[in-house]
Amino acid sequence: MMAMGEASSTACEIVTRPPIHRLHALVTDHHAFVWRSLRRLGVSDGDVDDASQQVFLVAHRRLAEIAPDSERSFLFQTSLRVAADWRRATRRRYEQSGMDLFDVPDAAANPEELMDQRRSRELLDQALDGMPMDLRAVFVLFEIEEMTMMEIATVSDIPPGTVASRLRRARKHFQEAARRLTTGQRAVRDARGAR
Amino acid sequence: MIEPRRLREHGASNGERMLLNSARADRPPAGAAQRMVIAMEGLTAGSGGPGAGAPMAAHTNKMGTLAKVGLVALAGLGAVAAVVLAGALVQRMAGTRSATAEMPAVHTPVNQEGATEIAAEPPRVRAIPVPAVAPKPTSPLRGSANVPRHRELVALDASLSAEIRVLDTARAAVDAHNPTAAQRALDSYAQRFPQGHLKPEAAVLRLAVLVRLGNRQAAKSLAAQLLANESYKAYEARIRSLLRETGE
Repeated sequence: MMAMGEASSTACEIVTRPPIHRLHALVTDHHAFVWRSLRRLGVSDGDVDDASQQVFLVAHRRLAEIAPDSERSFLFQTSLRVAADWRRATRRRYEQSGMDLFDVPDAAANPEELMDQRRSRELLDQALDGMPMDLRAVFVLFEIEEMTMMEIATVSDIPPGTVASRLRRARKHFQEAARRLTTGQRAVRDARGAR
Repeated sequence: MIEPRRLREHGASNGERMLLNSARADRPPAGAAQRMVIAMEGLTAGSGGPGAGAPMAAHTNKMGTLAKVGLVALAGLGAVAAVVLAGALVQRMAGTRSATAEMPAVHTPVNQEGATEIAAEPPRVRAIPVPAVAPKPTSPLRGSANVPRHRELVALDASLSAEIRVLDTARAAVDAHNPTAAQRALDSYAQRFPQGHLKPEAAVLRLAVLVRLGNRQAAKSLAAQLLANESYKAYEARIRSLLRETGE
């Protein structure tokens, strides 16, 4: 997603650019990726803009430490932490109010409902919410963002073997959750309908 | 590295495929990046220094002056002095402040380990909580020399795929409460991959096998070794959980 001008600049030029310009370039080049990552790491639609801002504020503070060819990696790892903090804080807020954020009374989904984009997206969030964050990160980067294994290893700063191992386990998590969400509830609904 | 096929293309049920496809529409609203740029300008304006009424302009003027000083030094003082001043200029632009007035002769703050934080605190941001711990950007500090060449990647992939298959067998045996079969798989792994990339995973699986076999003493001993090794820090929770199963 890097702009052509950015890609052709030397590392020295990027580093010696005034910080505010470099920050602008970071936002312009990587905002969509950060937004998508936060959303897929569990930040709600309503909070993802604020979370994106958090990520870029951290980047602003650490601008001098970010190597020009590692901006995406830095932003993703920051997004991971921001998303994890958001989920912890949100869960605490809901628990204090007597509710469980991730306790959805009716996760019903039949094939017709799955065709509804919005409903499918909600169910995907539910399927991913039960996954540990380290597995979820690899899963969304590979299966949804469609990065390669080596790209994920670089962006996440983990060995390729660990990427492969986490992807395998994440897939198992996802498939079990998806089966539960799409099949189990249909059976319950069918049983209700039969009465 | 030979890539596995994506679930959506191979192996996913219709329901799974629909769930995965639903995320393809994820995108920020139109104009969000531009709004973010404007918001960041406003939020970071305070870090330009006291009395910065036009933060971008004041910052640019300061940088322009420093750049001029640098050029004069380059022309008048010679290459060595110019390098020293260029380093100071880069450091100043980055906004870092060192505890003392000293600076290294050649300074590349981007690649410098332990570079000091920008002193100015970011302005308060509304709504969601600030992350408790600032991120550790270990990856951004690496250079491109760490990226393996293609030949190495192919060899790496072949080894990894084989290693994963063996460890999956061991893991499945542990899950199926068949520690003997798991132990055989792990012995096979150790023999075939003495320098395997997944040795840490294999070691933790070995611990699980010992626990399942009821060999408490060996399990405790192995757990102690792993916990004392920094390489296994990521597995600490799992190791301690297994240790608890031995009654420790």
